[in-house]
Amino acid sequence: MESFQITISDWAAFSPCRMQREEWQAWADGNEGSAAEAGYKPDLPWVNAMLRRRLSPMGRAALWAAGQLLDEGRAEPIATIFASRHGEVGRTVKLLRDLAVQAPLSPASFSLSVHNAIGGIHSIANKVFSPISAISAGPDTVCAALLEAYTQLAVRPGDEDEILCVFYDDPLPEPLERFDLEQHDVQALAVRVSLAKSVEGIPVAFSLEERQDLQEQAPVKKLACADQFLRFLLQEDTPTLELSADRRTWRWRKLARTSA
Amino acid sequence: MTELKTELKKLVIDALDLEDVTVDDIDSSEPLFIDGLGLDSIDALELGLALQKTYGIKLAADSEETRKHFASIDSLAELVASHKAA
Repeated sequence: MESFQITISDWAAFSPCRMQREEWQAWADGNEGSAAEAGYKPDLPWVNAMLRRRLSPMGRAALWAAGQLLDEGRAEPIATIFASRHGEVGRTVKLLRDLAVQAPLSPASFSLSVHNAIGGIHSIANKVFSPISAISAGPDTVCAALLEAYTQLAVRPGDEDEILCVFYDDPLPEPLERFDLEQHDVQALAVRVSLAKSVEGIPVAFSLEERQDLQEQAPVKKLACADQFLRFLLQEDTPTLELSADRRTWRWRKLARTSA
Repeated sequence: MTELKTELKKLVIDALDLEDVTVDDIDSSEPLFIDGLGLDSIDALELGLALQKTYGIKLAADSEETRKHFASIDSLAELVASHKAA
């Protein structure tokens, strides 16, 4: 089966409970001393206050994670892919509630409820002129975005090129919460993706196949894909990860580091 | 009129999520859009909606008249005062 190879050269993740690398490492290793408290707020000094006020807490988390991977010393990513299964679903639900009672819709809320709104603010705040896309692919969202990163890199000659992927999702709000089958410890995760094997980082390969076992399964709540992917990256002794979506199974495995 | 202006400043701050801006930060005579406070076109639509909800004032989205009313807190106060008097 064909497999695709990428290297995750850097990552950053945010939730109100965890934002430091060591905190996420402890989370991945199941080593958290005490229950994490929700006290963090993402600080975005590089986003103009008039733009920043438009961002939801989730949008701020996404831009914070992205911002951690955009130091001045590093080459700019050739593209940025924002990926979220449900996007700004909190705003959408509020708009739908207003529509239901025929109340006028908030223009600001409407403009920010679209799927590429966070990417748009990112591009204005960071003066990004490279391509930005916004992906939603149901339970395949995280893997589809990484496949998108792979394909964009694969058609380019430059071996040093990197793509920034930003994943973000919040738990579904009322009245949709009973349909939510994902537990979100990660509010936003950003990764830098490269095809170069020489680059420092975590080299991984993935393949996808159609699922054969498509009989109805009882829905089970499980850790969201971004969370599972981050755990896979951080757990030294976890060589593989299987992410099953509705119709496909994505199989991930870590590759030997060339530098080791 | 001073009271109405303070009320309008609060309306602008709340309706447009102007975090870190207080009533005292807004000069009644300074421009609300682009220069001055620095509001944009989405804010204009949002402010129009807030005026409609709060005072029942309906404005055409893109008329010269509306531009004049939206120039500053002073001009907005005149608009609201004349609407209340009518």
